[in-house]
Amino acid sequence: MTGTPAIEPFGPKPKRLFDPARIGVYAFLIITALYFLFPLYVVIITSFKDLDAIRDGNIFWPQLKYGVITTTDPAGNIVTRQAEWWHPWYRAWFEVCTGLECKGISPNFWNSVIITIPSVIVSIAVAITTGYALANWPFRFSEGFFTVLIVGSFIPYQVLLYPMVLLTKNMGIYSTLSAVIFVHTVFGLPILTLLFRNYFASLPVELFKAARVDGAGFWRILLQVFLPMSLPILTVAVILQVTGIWNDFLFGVVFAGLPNYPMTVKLNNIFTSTFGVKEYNVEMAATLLTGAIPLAIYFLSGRYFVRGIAAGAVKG
Amino acid sequence: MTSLGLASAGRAYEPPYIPAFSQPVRWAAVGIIAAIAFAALASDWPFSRIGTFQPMMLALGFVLIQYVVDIPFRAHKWRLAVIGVFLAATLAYWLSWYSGGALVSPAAAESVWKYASVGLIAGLLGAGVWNAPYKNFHSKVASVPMMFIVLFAFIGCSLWTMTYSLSDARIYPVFTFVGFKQYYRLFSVDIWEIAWKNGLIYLFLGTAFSIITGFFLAVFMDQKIRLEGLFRTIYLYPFALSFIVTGHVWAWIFSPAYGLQKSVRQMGWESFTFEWIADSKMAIYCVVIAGVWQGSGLVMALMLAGLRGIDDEIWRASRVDGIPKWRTYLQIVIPMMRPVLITTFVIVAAGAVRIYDLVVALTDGGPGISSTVPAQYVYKYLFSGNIGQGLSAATVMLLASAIILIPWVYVEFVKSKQQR
Repeated sequence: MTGTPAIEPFGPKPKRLFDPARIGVYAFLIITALYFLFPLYVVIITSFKDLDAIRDGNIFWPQLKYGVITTTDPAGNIVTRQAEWWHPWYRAWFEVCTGLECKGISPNFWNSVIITIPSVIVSIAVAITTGYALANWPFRFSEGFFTVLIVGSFIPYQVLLYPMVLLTKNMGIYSTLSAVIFVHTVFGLPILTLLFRNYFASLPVELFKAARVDGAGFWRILLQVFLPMSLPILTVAVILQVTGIWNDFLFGVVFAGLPNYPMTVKLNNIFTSTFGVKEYNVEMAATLLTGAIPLAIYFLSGRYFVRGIAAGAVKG
Repeated sequence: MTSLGLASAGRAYEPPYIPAFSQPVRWAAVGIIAAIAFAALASDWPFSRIGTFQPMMLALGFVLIQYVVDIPFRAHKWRLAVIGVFLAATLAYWLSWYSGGALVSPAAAESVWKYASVGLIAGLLGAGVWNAPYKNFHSKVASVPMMFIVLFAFIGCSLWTMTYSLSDARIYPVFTFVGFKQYYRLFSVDIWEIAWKNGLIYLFLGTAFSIITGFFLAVFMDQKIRLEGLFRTIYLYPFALSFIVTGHVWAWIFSPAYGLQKSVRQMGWESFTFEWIADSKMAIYCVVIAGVWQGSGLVMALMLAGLRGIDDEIWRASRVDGIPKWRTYLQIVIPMMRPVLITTFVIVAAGAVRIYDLVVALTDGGPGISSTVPAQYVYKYLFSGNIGQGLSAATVMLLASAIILIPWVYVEFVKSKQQR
């Protein structure tokens, strides 16, 4: 049957430049983005101001000119100096006081580093072995233990806090670095085990079977077959643990003991310390220094970070 | 075709038991373990360092775990014997404590615990070597840390807290049974009333606003927009921060003398007032604002993952049927996302119950005690000489988390079992 050819639309679909719905979507996204960015912006510009500018200026505008500033040092002497934009950061790192101790936040930065590195290594080592055992070598009640582990991770820490204090006291490690590492390993285990178990379960089972046929045992398969393959999930786990342990406050304040206080605890002490003049700019600089490591990790590896929380949160 | 016909002999074929170690090695291992045990008992070195409680708990761990992993005994009678030794030792200790030393002297009870714990650990290790090999041995050994953590850190510590919340423990954790006295006291003090009300406000408002904000962000992010990565980075970065950092940042913005109020006034709006943080009725809402700021990015990420998981066919079908977008979301997409929604809800709400750092940093419970939350109450009493009171508050928090967990347990375990 022949007839006139059907008229069909041709050419690219016309696009309206200003679709009201699109404008609405972008307006919503940009306004919320500004709301999310606002506190960071305020803190950054505040940390570069001098005290006069904080007293007289407002939180929206950065300070452009720096004058002479007078402060009192802990001994009570009046000090005059030319203000510079980096002064608050210098004071926060080297000089800020809590009580009578004026060493800045840098010792506690190193404490946080010393706490974080072994905690991350130990907790991931335990979790990767456990996750691998659960995924590939199940035994009686292994799923039951895993379920209790996951449900247990929802117990408020305050419930377990005091028994854990007693436990670490009995082990003779209370208020030392070992206690913090121990506690972070215990409470990091559920989420990390979940992460590794799900990852190993998603690998093709033929891989495991082939290694078995070739005569590899439990540890050899883990170390020589699975570990080299788990680099992506290891990255996720490291990011998750580093940010988690770095940001922790409760375990640091309870288990670390005074000389080992991590950065978050020190930061809080800087704010609550009522000695001398309150230096808001220095406090804000210390706040940013405390948040710097997790933020840097986040901005450098955002994709893995998102994967980590998604994988950890939604049981796959 | 080589059928040995063994399975048809009436019972399943069991391979003959061939010990992993030769007889001399077995005896040598048992001898070494026994020597170490005798040395430990004779020198009293471990007990003078760590007391008798730790070894007994270690022994208890082994005793319990043997049921799971079939190590070292597969025969029931031996397992029962091991449990019997543990129970007898515990009974002796308890009798001594309960009778104040009249029935069993404390020294005797101590030495019973010493011998029992060393005997149990050495016996189980020795039998472990003797009865090797085991099925799936390495996996079971690798799971021992998890089993200990589950048994002692999660189950044991929770039970300990619940038990001692019925005691009159003050500075030292000594168990004197007083029934529910701590709970009566708890619900008669003002500060706890403020604390649990604040906890509920934060739980409801914080969870609701986080989920609503996060859901809207995810829906708008799902409209095939440009620069999606940039927006996601912006919404999620607060989640990478410590609650301590978030708290102090927002405290600065809320501060009437230096923050938003002063700045807006300086820009010309003289009557602008925003002093929630200094207002004892409103301070907890400041915590909610900061908490939502930090937490809604997480909800957005989870929801976005859920939205991306929905089949495109659904969208095409609803477009063909001429259903407007908002109705598709409301009546098709949200019901389909119920598991994600419930998981998100449980994660956010369980975090809201244990909220602590944020309040410490933002208001420190102030002004006065008006924004105290339950976790602060627990912490305050635990470390200031009224342990029983702190533990009873902790138990109430545990109960609240358990209630929140119910829908999640239902989805994860009951529902998924039904579907299989």
